[in-house]
Amino acid sequence: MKTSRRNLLLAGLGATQLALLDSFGTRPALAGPRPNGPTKLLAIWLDGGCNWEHFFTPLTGAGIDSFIRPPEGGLHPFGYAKSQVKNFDGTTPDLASPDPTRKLRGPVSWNAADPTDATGMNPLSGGAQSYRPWGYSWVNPDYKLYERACLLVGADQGTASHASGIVASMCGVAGSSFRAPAVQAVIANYMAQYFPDRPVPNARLGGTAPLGVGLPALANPYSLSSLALLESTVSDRRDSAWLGLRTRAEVDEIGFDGKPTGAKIPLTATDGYVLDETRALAGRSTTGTDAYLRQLYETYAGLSKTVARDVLTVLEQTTGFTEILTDPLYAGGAFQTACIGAADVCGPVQSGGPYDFALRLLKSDLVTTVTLRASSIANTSFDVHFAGGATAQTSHLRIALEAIAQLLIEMSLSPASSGNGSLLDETLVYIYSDFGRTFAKSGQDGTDHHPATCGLLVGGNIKGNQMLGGYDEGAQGSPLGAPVPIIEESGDTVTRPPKSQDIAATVIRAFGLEPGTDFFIPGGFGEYKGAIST
Amino acid sequence: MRSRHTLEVLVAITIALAGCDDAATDDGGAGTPCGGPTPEERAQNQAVFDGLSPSCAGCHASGARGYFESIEAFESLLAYEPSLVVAGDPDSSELVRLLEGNGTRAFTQMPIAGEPYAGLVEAGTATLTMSAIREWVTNLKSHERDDRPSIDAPRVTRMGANDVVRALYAQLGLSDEDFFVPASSFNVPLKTAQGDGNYPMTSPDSIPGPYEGLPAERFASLGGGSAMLQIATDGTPSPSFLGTITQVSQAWCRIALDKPNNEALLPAGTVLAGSDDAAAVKQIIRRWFLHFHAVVASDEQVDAMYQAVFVPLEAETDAKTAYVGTCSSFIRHPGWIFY
Repeated sequence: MKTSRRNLLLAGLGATQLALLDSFGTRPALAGPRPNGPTKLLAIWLDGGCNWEHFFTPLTGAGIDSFIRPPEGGLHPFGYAKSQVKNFDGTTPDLASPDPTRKLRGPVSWNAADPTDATGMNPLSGGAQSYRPWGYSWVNPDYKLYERACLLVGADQGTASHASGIVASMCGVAGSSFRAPAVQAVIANYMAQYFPDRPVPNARLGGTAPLGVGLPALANPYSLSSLALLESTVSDRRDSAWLGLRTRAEVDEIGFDGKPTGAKIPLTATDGYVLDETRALAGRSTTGTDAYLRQLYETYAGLSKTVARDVLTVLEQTTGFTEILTDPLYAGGAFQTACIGAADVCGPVQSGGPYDFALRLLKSDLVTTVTLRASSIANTSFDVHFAGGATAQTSHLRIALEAIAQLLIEMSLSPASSGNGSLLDETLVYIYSDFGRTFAKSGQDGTDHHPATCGLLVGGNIKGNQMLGGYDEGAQGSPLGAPVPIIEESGDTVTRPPKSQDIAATVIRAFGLEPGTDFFIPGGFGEYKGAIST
Repeated sequence: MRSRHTLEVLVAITIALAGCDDAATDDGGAGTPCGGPTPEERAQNQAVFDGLSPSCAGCHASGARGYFESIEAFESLLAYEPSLVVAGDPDSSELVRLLEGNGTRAFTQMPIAGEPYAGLVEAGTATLTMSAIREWVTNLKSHERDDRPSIDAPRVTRMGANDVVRALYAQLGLSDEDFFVPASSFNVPLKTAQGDGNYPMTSPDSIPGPYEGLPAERFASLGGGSAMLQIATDGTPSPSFLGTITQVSQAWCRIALDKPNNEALLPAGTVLAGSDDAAAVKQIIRRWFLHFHAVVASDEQVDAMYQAVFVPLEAETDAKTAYVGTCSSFIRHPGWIFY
């Protein structure tokens, strides 16, 4: 076997892998951000594994007949008919075409003439279902979010285990731990050289921490689930911790290698002592220990700068949901709350994630990447093994995607930090789940884990109103992904079934990073062709 | 030509290394090591290693005190470490004192709980006798520790979130009662935080469980995982870990120093002297080196901390604040975070 870098990695050489990855992660990038590309990443994890096909329809008419159950359920809708499927731009879809590049489409569950209608009969369902307004914001013609969204379909996660699938969605490689840095960490690290003033490069508001395996310390995630936690982590506001200990002196910064960096750093007395002591331990043990000490040293140094900047005050002065509230549709009524059934379970639409906090972080320009966990009302996740799970998934997924759509609309109405375009223009939004789920056999059943999943990209330089890829519609049982054009690491375009590495690579490529130079994903990777505007 | 030059270089390197055979220390092979033991000494060390392992390796198989991770670790970190074993003088060797229950530093005996090792031998649960250990020390030849970085040395890892909470409670003399009061919801026993200003922190999986979210979020920011919430642990020295440990150590050190009758940090009746009695301050700092890092500090180490932390903090505020900053510096230190 040829001893290529990839083959070494595939062979699972442990430390060798990490050493090689490290060499990629720390190498100075050759390319810069794309001129009109994103500089921020918002990663939204839908907790538990999604039946994406309940909201999107990357299937032909024959595929709908094979895999989607007929509509039923009234106020508890489940399944849909071919007649319900519409392109999100309002046009009629070509359900006969097998082309794996399609317009964004899915079953219409809302009353476009009255988007707040939550009880009327949906005629497209043949009278089997009532209108459910949640999800409408994706097709709302006032904002045309669909024009910014691209669904990457049918990627094989290589696993059907929750923890492993989440890792696969974040770094491209399934595993109990990260064998490559999470895309959030890769982008945070890469953008730090262009946006050094963003003090929290990689913020985690929820979900699995997007670890920066092998990357410099600045790529490690900050866990910041609320303003209160932020205050007690990266602020010196509280007297109970800081009384008499706040004073910082601007001193010449010394690197871990003992050499002056040429910059100044604001240190407290205890900061200075701990840094000196840490630096003195270098070179005494293994290179692995030194790498750990370096992480500690550089993270302490970065933290001292962050605390000195008083990011808490900046955040407090930044508003979250603001612009969208001027639209009467979002100022009250059905879009403030959502209900399953008549009113069996109700709750605020945005209760499923820390959306307001994420908006404030992005608007304040304190961050490069934000990761948050999303669920539905009542904190319901999407792991629907239970009886009636397929029906529950239908409603909860629509509600969760409605909440996310409102977040995206606010971003599209908010100015970019750069002053050029909107916050959605400068931010790529990556929506993912643990994996896909088995296609539902009935509304009374639950659905199981399934490795074929989707990734939804919105904003930034994403070429919108399209779905790339589909499913193997000849399959018995739940299908895996169908072949789709992929631009391989080598630059060659091939048509093959996609895998988790390809979604991760497409996210990273949107920021302008070059394969093999600026990033690397073990196991081989390519970019969904046509996902990114050139 | 190229291959001939390569051969010449290889021969030169071989000759240069001939007087110093790393194999003897690195893989147990025979030869003259660079300051390491002879094969005969290695065999004697191995016998003691094998005899003590059943009683010691359970706690000392990894980390900075991973003496029983390998025979190389045993020799490098323990047998040839003068602060623990004085070659030729068992009575002056802290290892022997610890095994006999007469330790003079942070711990008085090993194993840390129950009978000391000598008692285990008497009870028949350990086989290597104290007389054999004393004889081994008596005959031990002094060797320089190899200061070169070793790829075989045990790698450090940092304290996990549960370790942090447990260690801080023990070392600062604190407990859940300093942060929570009992509560219940639908007859499920819970604990509710007495405000967030004193930085309550607990695993969401603890029993009783936390009533509020913030103490569990703080635990997660330390990298603490949760089986119940399906959150994986994070063992990196992340910004949120260090941000949290910085503030928690500062807040909790103050709470510990203010707590009545708390003898965890200072013996009863200790007066918190200021720099006008530098010797008294340094005595406390020396004590805290043992308390937090299990290290017998040199005068230089004590002076360095006194000058870098205590003096400037006292000059700016007061001695009490200087003690808080000094205490937190021990906790923020890699010697505490890594083990």
